[in-house]
Order: sequence, then C-alpha cells, then structure tokens
Amino acid sequence: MLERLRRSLALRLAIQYSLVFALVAGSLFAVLYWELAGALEARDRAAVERLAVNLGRAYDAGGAAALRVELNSNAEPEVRSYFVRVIDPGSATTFASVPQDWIQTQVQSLPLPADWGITATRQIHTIRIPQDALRDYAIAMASLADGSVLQVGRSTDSRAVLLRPLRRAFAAVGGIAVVLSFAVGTILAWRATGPLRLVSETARRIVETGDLSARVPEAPGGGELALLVRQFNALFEKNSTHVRVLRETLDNLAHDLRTPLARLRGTAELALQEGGNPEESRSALADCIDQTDRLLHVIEALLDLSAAESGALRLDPGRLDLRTVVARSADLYREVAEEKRIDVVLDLPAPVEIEADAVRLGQAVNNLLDNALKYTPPGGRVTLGAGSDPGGAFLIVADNGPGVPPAEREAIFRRLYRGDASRSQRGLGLGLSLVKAIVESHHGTVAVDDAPGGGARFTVRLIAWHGHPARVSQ
Amino acid sequence: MRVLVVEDDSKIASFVVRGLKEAGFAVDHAADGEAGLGLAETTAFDAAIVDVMLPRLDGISLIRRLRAAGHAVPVLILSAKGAVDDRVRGLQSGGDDYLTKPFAFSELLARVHALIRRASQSPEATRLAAGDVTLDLVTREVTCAGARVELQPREFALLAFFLRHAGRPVSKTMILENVWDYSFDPQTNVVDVVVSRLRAKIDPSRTRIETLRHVGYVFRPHA
Repeated sequence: MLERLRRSLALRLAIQYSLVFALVAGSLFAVLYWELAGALEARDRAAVERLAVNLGRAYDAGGAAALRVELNSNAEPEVRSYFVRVIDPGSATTFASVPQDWIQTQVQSLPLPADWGITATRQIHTIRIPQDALRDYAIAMASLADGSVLQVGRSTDSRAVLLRPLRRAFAAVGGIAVVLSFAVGTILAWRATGPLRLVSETARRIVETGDLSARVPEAPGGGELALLVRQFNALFEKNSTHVRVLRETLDNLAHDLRTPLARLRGTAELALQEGGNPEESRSALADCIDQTDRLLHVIEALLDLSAAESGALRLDPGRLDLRTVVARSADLYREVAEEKRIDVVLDLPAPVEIEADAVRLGQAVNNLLDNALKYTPPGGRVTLGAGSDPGGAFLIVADNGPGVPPAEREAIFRRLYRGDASRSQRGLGLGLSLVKAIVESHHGTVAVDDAPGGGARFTVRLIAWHGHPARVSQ
Repeated sequence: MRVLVVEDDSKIASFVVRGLKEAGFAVDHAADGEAGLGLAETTAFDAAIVDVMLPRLDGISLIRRLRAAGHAVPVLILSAKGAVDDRVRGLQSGGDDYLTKPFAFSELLARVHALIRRASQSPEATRLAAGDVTLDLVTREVTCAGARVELQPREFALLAFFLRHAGRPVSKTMILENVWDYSFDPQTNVVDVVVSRLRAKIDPSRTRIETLRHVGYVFRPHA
C-alpha cells in the first residue's frame, strides 16, 4: 500500500507542485527580505551621514568647541544617543561623546579604512558592525580639514530584529500555503487522474476475468483524458469484436473441417469392414482423395485469405483499365452464366484507369461475379458496371437474386460466414472476405446494398489512376 | 524416356521417382542444385523436374545456368510457394511449366508428358486430327465422324487442346492455363461446363472425352 502510494502519479504530481510552490514563495521572500533590510539600513546610514556632514562642517569652522556647540544645539532628541569621536592623524582621540549604553573598549577597536586621510577632499564612509545578536552599530566616518577623522555612530536594531515580524509572518503564512497547496494539489491531481485509474482498473478486470464487455465509464467533455477513455473504449470494442469474430470463425472452421473428415473416416472404415473387393477399395480410396482435396482446398483458401488480410499479400500494381478486368471476368464465366440462362450485361461506357494488381483484382471481380451467378435464379440477369466519378473509380456487380438483408450486409464479408440463404450453396464462405481483403489491400472499399430492381448490388470503390505510380503499396 | 528429378526433400523425391518409374520413365535423382546441374550437363534428358528451394544452388539459378550453357531440356518447376511472382520468375528464368506443392502425382505426370510432347513436336500443323475428329486451326472447321460440327470459340480452343494431348491425361488446371490463360485456379466449375458442352457436340456417347477422377480428362480418339 505504501509502495503504491509512493508511486501514485497523483501524489507525485502534488509533491512536485508543492515543491515548486515552496521554491517560488521562498525566492519571493528572500528578495523581499533583502530589499527591505537594505531600505532599513539605508535609513540609518542617511541619519549618521547627515549628522557627520553637519558636525564635520562645524569642526572645520571652529574646532572641537564648535563641534560641541553644534552637538548640544541640535534639536533632535536622539542626538544624545549618537556616538561622536574625533581622532587626529596620530590616532589620538581629541573629542568624544559616548552614550551611556556604548562600551568604551569596543569603540576603541573601531577600525579605520586603510587609506584613510590621504586625500584632502572630504570623504564619508559608512560601515555597519554587529554589536550583539540584537543590535548593530552604524558608523559614518568623515575626513576633516585638519586631517583628523570624525566618527558618528549609532546603535540600532540589528537586521535580524528588524525583520523578525516579517520572517514570522512568512513562516506562518508560507507554511500554511505549502500545506494547503499540497492538499489541494493532491485532491486536484487525484481527481484529474481518475480516468487513468478507471482505464487501468477496467483493463485489469478484462485481463483477470476475461470479461470482454467491460468498458470504462465515459465522462463528458473533450479533454485529453476524456478522449483517452473514449479511445480505450473504442479499442476494447474493436478487440471484443475481433475476438468474437475469431471465435465464430473457429467454430465455422471446425465445422467445415469436421464434416469432410467424418466422411473421410467413414469411407475408410466402411472399406476396411467390407475388405477383399479391390474394386470397392479403389473406389473408397478415390473417395478419400476427394475428401482430402476438399480439406486442402479449405486450408489453402484460408491461408490465402490470411495473407491478404494481414497485408502479406504481394501486389504487383500497374496501370490498367478496369473494363479489361471486368470483361475478362465476364468472359471466364460466360459458359457458366449461359448454362444457368443468366444474362450478363456489361455497362462499361468509358475507360476507367486505375492502378492495381491485375491478377488479384481479377480474382476479386471473379469472386463477386461467381457470387452473383450463384444467387441469381435461372433466367435472371447480372449487371457488371465500371466507371469513374469525382470520388475515384467504381465497379458494380448487381444481380436480381434475393438480395442481402440489411442485418447481414457487414457479416457477409467475414470469413467463413454463411447467411441462412447460402447454407445450401456450395462454397466456403471465403469468397467475399477475399474480395474485401484484396480491395482493401488496394486501399479501396467494398459494400453491398439493394439493386434498384431488387437483388444485391456490390460496389467496389478504388483509387483512380492519377498519372503517377506507386500509390498502391507493395 | 529419361527424366531428371532435382529435389532435396527425400519423401517427395522418392514418391516422384517411384511414380515416374512405374509410368515407364528412366529416372535420375539429384538431392541438391549443383549435383542436379552436373547431371543435366552430362546426360541427355527428355525432361527435368526441378524444385525451387534447393541446397547449394537454387532451382532458378540452376535453370538459368542450364539455359546459358545451351541446354534445351524442358523443365517443370516445383515450388512450395503458390505466389504469382514466383511462377513468373520461374518461367522467366527458362522453366517451361510450373507446379505448386502439394500436387497430385497425376497432375505432375500429365505435365511431364505434355512437356515432352511439346519439345519433340515438329512445328504445329494447321490441321489437328485424332481418330475421327479433325480440327482446322485456320478455317476453324471441325468435323466429327465426317460430319461438320459448329463450336463456340471456347469449345474450339478446348478441343484443340485435347487433340494436341490426345491419349494423355490433362488436368483441369492445365486446361485453365492453356484454354483460358489463367495462371491460378479461379475456383469455378467453368471447365466442367465447357467440357460438358463439348461432349454434347462431339461426344454424345461419352466415349471420346473420358473423365479421370482426381486427374482431369483424357481424350481417347476413336479408331
């Protein structure tokens, strides 16, 4: 459970989200902190520098006495809390005013910049020295006309003390914000990844129980995850259809193989029992060959179809006129049609240029025509038409037989499918699925509907020849 | 009649060799392409049966080399693949006929007979005759027992094929290939339909065109 929680996408998203939030908030606080601290320190600096300039001017005009007068006459009450000292070039203190709370020894050690006093121009230099944990010294140093150095200092709240409320506020608010962002992030991420859990849960259920009808509950909307759920459902749907079709195919195949096998066995068994008579044995053996031929034929047709459906069918496409394919097919079946007194009408008004494998496409047309002749009653009529329209090239095989009921129109292209009407007919139920496989390997489509005068009408649509080869893949 | 069989599968080879011997042929067998080529170059054969997939030298190359060396022996190609391009490749390389495994021995035998006949025939006469049936390829006149018979084009072509192979079995596949020019079996009963029509016209007593179960047909000329 803990391991699963650790790996949970929602939790990881929430943690990452909170980390980013904390980082951004922290950076914001740091910038604010430094800016504010700088501003506060600048105020101290301005105060000591202003006093240093005033006192320095007084000292330059009237020496230490004037300095003292200036210091005492200053109206600002906090002036008394300032530390003021003058040091001559010989490092001796010539004037000092030290507030009560300043400790002498520390003041003695206040350093001077190394190159101090060399230049004649007035220089002001402010430094800040930590006094203790709570207080800092802000000290301005000004060069005087006689080469002495005037120091004006002030004890002030340290940066840490000044910004303590800010830090406290930030710690409280920031902490709450991070916790809150984590909580909200977790909830949001958990909710957002809900469809993912549903998908994985459904997939697990299908794998564990083999229940192919399981679907992920679909949420409205067109977001990525709603789309994902829909795609998964489409995938599940397609899968279960495939499995169902495969199962049906296997059932049909088993049936198709069992019948000739049972007959084969029966023939052989009977011949064995009767024994002796060579003429009858020969006849039985011949029957056995008949049955095996039929079985071989079923298997070969299935293999051919598998190759076509899996795209393993090698095509040798070339430019050709669909009319020649149709005419050749009609020619092949001429005598068969005549025997059944079926009128085969060709409706081929203009050339129909396509790119196709002549042999394979011929096979498809043959199967369609064979199918039409099979279901058309004697004395009927089969129409073969070809033409082109803006959508490409088309081929029509129409008959005036019983037609295909709407419910069976998709199923008849499935392998080994045989509608009720065709149970009595010879054949394997592979012809139309081979038509579909061949047409689709040419990137075309095949469908069936009602012919205008009743009967079935098969329409094959193919890509028209566009003047450049290799549109049909190998 | 001497026939060379180049086939590496020992089961198929022994089945073919035994069958051919029973049919009265002298048979040599080679189990790989190079041995087959060696035999074919040194011995005069009336026909050769060559498998496509062979060790050391494949069947197609074998035929190419044989033809390049000027040997005209008629060759029947055997292949496990039924693909059309395999067939085309085989025939382009110089093979004379093609048969896909699994095959019926009767089919193989019929084709070998046809190959040998074709190779030994002098340029074809414009008039074919067998027994009391005659057929003129130019005037398209057909007579049976002295009487004129009117035939549809397909029936005419079928009869011409029967007459060329009179007395020899021909398979339905051979008929489809030669009369309809179909290189693959379109799975129809069209051959039966045309044969029965032809029978109605020249053989109402069903004594000339005999149906051989699992083989096809044989045209038996009346004496």
